[in-house]
Amino acid sequence: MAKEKKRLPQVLAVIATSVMAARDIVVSLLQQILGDAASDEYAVTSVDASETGPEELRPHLTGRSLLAEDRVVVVSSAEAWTAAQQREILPMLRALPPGLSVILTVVGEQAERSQPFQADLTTFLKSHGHIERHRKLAARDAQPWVGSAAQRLGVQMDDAAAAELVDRVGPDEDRLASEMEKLATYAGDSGRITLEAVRELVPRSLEASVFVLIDALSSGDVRKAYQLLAEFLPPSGQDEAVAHLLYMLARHFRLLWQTLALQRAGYRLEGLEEVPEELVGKLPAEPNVVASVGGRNWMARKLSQQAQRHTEATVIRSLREIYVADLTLKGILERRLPSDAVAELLVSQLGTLRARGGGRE
Amino acid sequence: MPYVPFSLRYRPQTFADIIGQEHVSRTLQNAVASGRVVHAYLFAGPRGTGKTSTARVLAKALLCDKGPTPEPCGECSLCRAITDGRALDLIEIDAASNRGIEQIRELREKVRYSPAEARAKVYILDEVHMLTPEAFNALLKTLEEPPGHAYFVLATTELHRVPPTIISRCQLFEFHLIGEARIEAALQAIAGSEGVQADPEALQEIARAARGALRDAESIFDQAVAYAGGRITVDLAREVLGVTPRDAVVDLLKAMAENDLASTLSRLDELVASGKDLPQLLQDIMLAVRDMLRASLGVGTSEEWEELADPARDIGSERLAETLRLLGEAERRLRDATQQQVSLELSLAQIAQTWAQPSAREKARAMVTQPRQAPTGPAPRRLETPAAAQPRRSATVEAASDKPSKAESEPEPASAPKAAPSTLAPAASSSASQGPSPVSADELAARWEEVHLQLKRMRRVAVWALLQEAKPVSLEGDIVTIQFDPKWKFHSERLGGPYRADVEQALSRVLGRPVQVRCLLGDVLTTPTPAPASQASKPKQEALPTAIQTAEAEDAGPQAEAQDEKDEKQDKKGIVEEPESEASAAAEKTVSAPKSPSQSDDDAIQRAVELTLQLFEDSEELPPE
Repeated sequence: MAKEKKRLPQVLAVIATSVMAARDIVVSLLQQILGDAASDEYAVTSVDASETGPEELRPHLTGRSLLAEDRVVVVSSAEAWTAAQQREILPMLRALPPGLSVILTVVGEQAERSQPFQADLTTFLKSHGHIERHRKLAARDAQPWVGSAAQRLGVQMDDAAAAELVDRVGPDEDRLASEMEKLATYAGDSGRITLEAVRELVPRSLEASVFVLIDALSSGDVRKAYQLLAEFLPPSGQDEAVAHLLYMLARHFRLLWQTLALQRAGYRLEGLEEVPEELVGKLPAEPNVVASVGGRNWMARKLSQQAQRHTEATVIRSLREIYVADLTLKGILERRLPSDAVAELLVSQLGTLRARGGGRE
Repeated sequence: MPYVPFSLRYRPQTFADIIGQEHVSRTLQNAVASGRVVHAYLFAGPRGTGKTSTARVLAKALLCDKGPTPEPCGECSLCRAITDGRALDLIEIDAASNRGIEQIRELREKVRYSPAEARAKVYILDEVHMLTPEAFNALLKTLEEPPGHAYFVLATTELHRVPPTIISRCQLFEFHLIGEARIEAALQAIAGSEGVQADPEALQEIARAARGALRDAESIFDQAVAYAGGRITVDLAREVLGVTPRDAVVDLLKAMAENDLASTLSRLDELVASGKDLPQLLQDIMLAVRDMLRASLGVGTSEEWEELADPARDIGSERLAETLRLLGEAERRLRDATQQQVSLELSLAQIAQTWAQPSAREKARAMVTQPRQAPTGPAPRRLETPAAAQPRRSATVEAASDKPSKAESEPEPASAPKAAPSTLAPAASSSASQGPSPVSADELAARWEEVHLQLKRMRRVAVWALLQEAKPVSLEGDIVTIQFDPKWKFHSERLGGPYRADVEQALSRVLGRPVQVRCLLGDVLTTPTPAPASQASKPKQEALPTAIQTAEAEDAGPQAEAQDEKDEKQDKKGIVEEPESEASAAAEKTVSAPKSPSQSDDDAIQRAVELTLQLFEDSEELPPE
């Protein structure tokens, strides 16, 4: 049966943080606009705005095609155009010939901005076009999302496995989709994704690993912290990997420090919009807890939970330990240890900080 | 015909040949079988674990004439071409040497062309983390929308250097280290195929040295075969590896753990005589100590150093962490030393001594509980030097023993409380019965420089400066008298007044026991004569901090340790069960107003440990910023 075409505005914008979500939306729009012709290679033209300026696009937006009745030009990374380029494209969009549609896509971090386009283009899209926005997955929606993905893939997955997956990946829709695809493939004929399979196949994201590592350290679980080290370090103990671990730990403790500072001022990470600009301006630019958390509720919650286990003194003491480890790693101190031993020593120091009373106020 | 090394000759040709990565093989086989192969894979993991080999097997599975199939035939022209490295549609790129945007742009251009002979093209980008940021960006576009005939396999040993944008566009597989047993089995299989005789222990040694990387193991085995010319024995394997015989390191560390310096040095001599490279030996010792630290933390140890697990738990993580630092310093010294052996001997002796002495926690506990063992008269205790301090092992070994403790077996003074079994009681009573060796005034004078150093370490620079004008005069009981020339009145007043506690602290640390200070300006006493610290009437509240300072003084690496904490709990229990003497009960009351004696003890110990740790913090030296 022929797919029915829908009448949509000629200019559309897809704004999505997830690559896969954006792709799905574009495919869906193409089908609505072109119907059966959506798979016709002559009907769809793809250009990348980061490599193609408005002037180069003009032939695609003005002429008609002999090979396709209706056509769609998909412009990816539209945010790559400067404001001037966006103003330049606007007259062409206003005068599109009949049968030609344009889809502008903005994907990834840029999609998190409230208005990724220049003001005139935004006004035009709102008045004469259509904007499809796909929001970032909220932390609380991640597990249900996994459940529905399992259904789509035709596999069974119990809650524990789903929770483990979310814990390892975080609410990153693209990575969740990719991992679900991998897990479903691994499950094969068994049709079941188990907790063991998740543990075996899904590596933690580095950010999530740091959270778990800091959790272990803060609770004095040195044993677990040691085991987690393997997620950061290659077995041969490369200096660079250890240096990166130190950087990640230092960055995290600095975020905790800022969290504590905000809490002391009476603000919560879960309500960052209430924090006055002036106070935000006083925080370091990088890492900046406000920017890091963004809209990520899970991170806000996790940082707040971890901050409860720390005082400013323990954070400072932890940073000092990291500093000493850094100097040791670089051979500045009067001692020289293999890089993985430096990491292990640091973990044992940080993991026993509380027991040693380090950083008591 | 040129020689083909084992690592290439025995490279996996099918998914079944890939060792230790079953999670990857199974997923890829299922993907090929079910047509769910994605267009971009990212293989991450340590070197020598099979990333590139797996990528090639995947390429075979996709391109095989009889495929796509999870079990490529290995015989068709394409499979053979891939094995021989001449397949036109398997493009392997070393990203480390083709890391720029130009190379990736070129790749993007070529990707568009249809495959030359197969149904698809497979690109393997090895060491992909080496690409420049611009090259990664250029690659991103290709990974997002690759042509239907193109598959990418990116391989990296450093996943953290791959941008998240790339990772999110690939299906990521982490390759694990391969277990020693499986590496050993693989080597055994190669030995069988090659007709090489090899002792199982030799293969074990090589498998261990490979640390999870099969390719490394194969290369070492290759060298051993070439070197041996016959049977491969464990000694030969060690020779090829250049490692110190494990047993020799174990024996050396055991001798150190037993504080047997003669045996330690003679074992070191033997190793040196056998031509052992000292820096390499030091590295081997470091590896062993690292494993001991892991064992002491209950993280588990490798089979290699299993024999050291018990001594490790006995020594404790606190001292082992400190040992690692000392070894790190030893490594530095060794490089600069003209007499390397002497340098290493000194380092090992220092470590053995560290292991023999009580840790900060043990000392703190001992000090806290000490008044209980001699609670009755005001008789001053004799001075105890650090050298005479009760060795750690005697305390812990006796504590662990089921035999009646020394405290129980010895007759008690009439007025002494009946001691209940306690882990610390034996050490304390034993110490008391043997009597600490006294420190003479001359000896104090000889160690005066240490007091100065101690003040510097404590960062009490002003106190240190004032003390320059003082000289130690006498040491009577727990009281140290220092004298100033009459012209140094200000110095005398300051040190006898606000800075007195600092001087006492430094002295206590150096002498290894709590002492108090009185100052003389000429012959005139400028401070009141303090009461002896050991006097029973002295409130425990005052005695505690000094005792703790002493305990903390010698141990610069306080680490909480599971066994310590367990001991601590046992100690507390033992103390609680102990009947109180009047004097000690009175002392307890000054600490707080406890609801019960046990609560009081708990609080006192808690406070003691807290103070110890606080003092450690105060005195800790940080490197210059």
